[in-house]
Amino acid sequence: MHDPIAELLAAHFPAESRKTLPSMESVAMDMAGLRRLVREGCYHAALELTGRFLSAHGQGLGQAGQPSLHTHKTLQMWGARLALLVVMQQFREAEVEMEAFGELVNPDLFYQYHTHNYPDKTGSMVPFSMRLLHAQLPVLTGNHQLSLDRLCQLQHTCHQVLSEVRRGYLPFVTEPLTPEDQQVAETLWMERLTRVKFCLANTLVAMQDYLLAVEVYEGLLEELPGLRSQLLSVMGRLHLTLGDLPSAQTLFSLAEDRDEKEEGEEERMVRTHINQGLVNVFLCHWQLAKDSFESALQLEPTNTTLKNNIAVCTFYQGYLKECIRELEGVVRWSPPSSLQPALLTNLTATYDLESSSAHSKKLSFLPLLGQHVGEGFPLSSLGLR
Amino acid sequence: MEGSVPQQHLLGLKVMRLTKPMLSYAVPVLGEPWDMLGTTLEENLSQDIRSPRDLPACSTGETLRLPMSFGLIFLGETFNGFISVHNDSQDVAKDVAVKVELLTPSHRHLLLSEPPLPQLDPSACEERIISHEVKELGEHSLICTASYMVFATGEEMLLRKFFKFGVAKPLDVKTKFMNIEEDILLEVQIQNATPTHMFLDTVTFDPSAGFRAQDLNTIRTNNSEVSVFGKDNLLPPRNIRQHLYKLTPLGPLQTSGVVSNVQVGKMDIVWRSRFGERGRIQTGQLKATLPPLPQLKVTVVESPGTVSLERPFRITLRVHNGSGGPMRLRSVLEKHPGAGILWTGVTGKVHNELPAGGSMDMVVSLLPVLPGLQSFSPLLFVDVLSNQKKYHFNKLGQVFVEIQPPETLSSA
Repeated sequence: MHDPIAELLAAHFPAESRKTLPSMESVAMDMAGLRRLVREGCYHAALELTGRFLSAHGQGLGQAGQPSLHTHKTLQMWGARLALLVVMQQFREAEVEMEAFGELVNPDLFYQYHTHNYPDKTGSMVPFSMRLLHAQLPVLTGNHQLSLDRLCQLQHTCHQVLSEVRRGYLPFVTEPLTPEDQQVAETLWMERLTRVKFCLANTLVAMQDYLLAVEVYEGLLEELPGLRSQLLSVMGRLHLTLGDLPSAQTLFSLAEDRDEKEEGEEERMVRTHINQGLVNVFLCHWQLAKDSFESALQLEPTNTTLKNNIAVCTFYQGYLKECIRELEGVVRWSPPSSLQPALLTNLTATYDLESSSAHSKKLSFLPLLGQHVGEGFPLSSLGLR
Repeated sequence: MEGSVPQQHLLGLKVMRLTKPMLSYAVPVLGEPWDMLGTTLEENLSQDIRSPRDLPACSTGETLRLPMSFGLIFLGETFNGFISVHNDSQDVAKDVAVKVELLTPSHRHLLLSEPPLPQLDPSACEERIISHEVKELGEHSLICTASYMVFATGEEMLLRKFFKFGVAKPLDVKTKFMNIEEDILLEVQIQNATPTHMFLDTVTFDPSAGFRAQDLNTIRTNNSEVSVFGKDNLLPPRNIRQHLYKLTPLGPLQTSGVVSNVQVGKMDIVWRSRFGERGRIQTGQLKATLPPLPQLKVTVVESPGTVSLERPFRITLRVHNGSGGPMRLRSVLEKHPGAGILWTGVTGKVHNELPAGGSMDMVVSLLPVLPGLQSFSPLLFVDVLSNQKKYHFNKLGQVFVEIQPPETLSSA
């Protein structure tokens, strides 16, 4: 069982105990077992399980190019495996494994190809989330254009399916949909379209084409009226990243508008304070920014983002030790929920500045991690060299 | 940007460039309930503060990240640095004095110099923020010095660290001048030379004392002014913008000859980039070449744009005496062969004396004889006071000559 945290713990703190984690052997080799591993943060074990499952079905590592038969289940497992690789930031590996599937249009990826197994089914066996991953992956390895091409293609496909569904049919199916099924299918494909658009916006942000990303979010505003304020805030943040304060402020004030949706007053106030805090960070008004985040913290005393942002402002005010004390306090405050990679990254950056013994200070978090987190926790956030 | 501590020193010294913080980002991996993993990864992500709350599909979070790299620095930006001096040893350091200097290609700036700290205990740390507006291109060296005394031995120590960085050009500014009579049109081409977007806070032309500048970068529509560059002032990497200004000399700058290298003013550009990183540059004095001022200037101050064929019309001319002395002018209405618009009225008329720098208006009538876009016939002025000196005006202006519609003809 691969557990980098246990390995480091054994090397540096042999007396410390490691949290008992489920392993590949201790769970069933099925969907429930896999999901349990992921919930516990055991991504290595989950990845191993997918590998084992696929080998048992004549696929997987070292079997590329060998004759084997895809089934609905093996493709589902491939989708899970690729998703895990991406979550563990093993983008290159994911890319290599995804290559075997080409553009996801090979004949053996369709039900029609396997008539003996699926006599009555037609259409692609590739899960939609694997398609989305297939489109997302190139940008993670630096190929922005390919991601954009695939996402636009996927968006087009969603529109095509939606227009078919609205006519009362599903692609590859000759019989018309019942009104209930039509409703379900339309909702599903609208949701899928929304996900594609989010991925498109994320890709554009990665390409630093913030203005186009903002346009995509503008389109999403209409589709997701319940998330209007959140989306407007994201758009405002992107404008801050660009250096465009007037546009950001316009969007933030739109986000403040009370809508008739179910969102609570408190949640809205918190978002308003956060947005105001970010504007003050933009303007280098560190104390005002802190005040904004503090006001939000009064409403949500357990919000780690706010505590982190306050500590970052403390740092910019020139108080290194104070900032370290604040960040250490948040990290140790309520594990495991406070053991956030984002907090650790900031904390270890301040350690690097504070002393020449940063390495041992970083290592000192291992026992805490060992007690609380799964083996999939991104150790890179500790900044160990 | 950090330094390692030599063995013999009690103190360590580190520097971090304080660029603006960044926003956290996440890599959303989205699942559907019937997938093998279901939505478990999304649920895990919703616990991660790198991802924005309520929007697990979005990659741009609201958690601030400290800068991890030195990044690029450009002329006109401010270099902010975080300096920390820490005692890594078991001994006490006394009289710790920290000095920070910045060596630029032509100057040495003192950024930090404080009276010595009486004492720095083991594992204690002192930190300062330094700030300097970058005004030079090229290589810069930050020289950090900590002098102290080892308490145990009384030995005087000097710890010195160098940090080098280059300053690049943020904008490429090119200028082009065009003379229109005594006015100058200035076109300023601004190109973003950085790899990030720039939000242009203000782009202004500061005219020098002898000029008045008019900003020609807005269009007036229905009582409101709209920028010709659209609603936002963003300049993406490598993109170019052209700003146009009209400069009018305030006094009699020009003489009879060509004047070169006249200082007309300078450009002042203020921008914001990466999460509010601010920069400002001013160009040096821009220099224009002015053509000689005409001794006699004739301009059309009033004229219809469209006239009807064979219907006389009037225009008003303004005659300006730009010479040093008085003039007594005789106007000669000339006929150009093939001219489409002919003068009517008295030719050879001698006008009242026109003092130096004075102007007079004269109304003349014309008759269009050809349809289409036609030029006025040439005009000749003869100064009877200065030896019959002649001034020809061949390009006074044009109007469009319409053929009258038949119904108007029949009614007439």
